[in-house]
Amino acid sequence: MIKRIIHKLLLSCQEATLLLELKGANQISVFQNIRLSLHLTICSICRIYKQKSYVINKYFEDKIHDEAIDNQATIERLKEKINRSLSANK
Amino acid sequence: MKKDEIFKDIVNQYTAILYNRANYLLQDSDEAEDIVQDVFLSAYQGFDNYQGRSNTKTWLMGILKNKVADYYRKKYKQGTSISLSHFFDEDGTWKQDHALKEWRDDEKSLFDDLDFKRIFDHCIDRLPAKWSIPFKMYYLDNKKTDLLSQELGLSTTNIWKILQRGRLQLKECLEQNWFNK
Ligand SMILES: [Zn+2]
Repeated sequence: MIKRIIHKLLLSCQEATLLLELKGANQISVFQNIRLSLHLTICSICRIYKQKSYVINKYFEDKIHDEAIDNQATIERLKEKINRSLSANK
Repeated sequence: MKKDEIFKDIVNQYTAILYNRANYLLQDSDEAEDIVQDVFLSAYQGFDNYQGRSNTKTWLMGILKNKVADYYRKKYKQGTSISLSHFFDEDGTWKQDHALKEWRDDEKSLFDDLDFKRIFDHCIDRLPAKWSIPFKMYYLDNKKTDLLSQELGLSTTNIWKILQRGRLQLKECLEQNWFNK
């Protein structure tokens, strides 16, 4: 009950998860950061969510190195198509 | 070498990487093919201005990014309403009990697991393109939300909401298909 009141006065979990996005992009203001930290000290669910969101974030950061999909046939066919359309558009 | 010969080389060398990126962003192989074709047409037309100004790959990837952004703006011009009622009640408190459950492994051992990666990629594929395109581009743009906001014609507020919503959905999908299985 007390937790619920604090959530309401301070910051809801829904707002906290939004602020976590701003924090993840280094775009959180000092004031927002204080509210978020206070929320996280009292809310274990959001603390756990923070860990999970960090894992998801890390996956995307690592993923940026394009992995080559093995679809040689599609690529060769597409090259043909592009070369044809380039000659047609000259 | 003549322009046409140089260009043939460029097509040969960069089609695969552009197609992979387009396919990743659009989640649709037909759309990806069309957009890559379009990238090369624009590149061919702009070739005289470009010549050697930047790295060829950077140049082509930049054109692709603009095309994907155009595609997104045209397709999703109506405003985005993003509901979080699946995850939070009207007070903004978590709805799901399993939100309390921690994930058992650290990310190092998870990311080495090919089955986990397969599930993760499946979960990414299941995001609606309306959210997944901004979500993926956020990372490709190195989290520069001002840039992303211009490119996609979305307010920064909406970008934060899309990131929040997309991440919540990914979390749920990973729990359903991996952690709580
Ligand atoms: Zn909370």
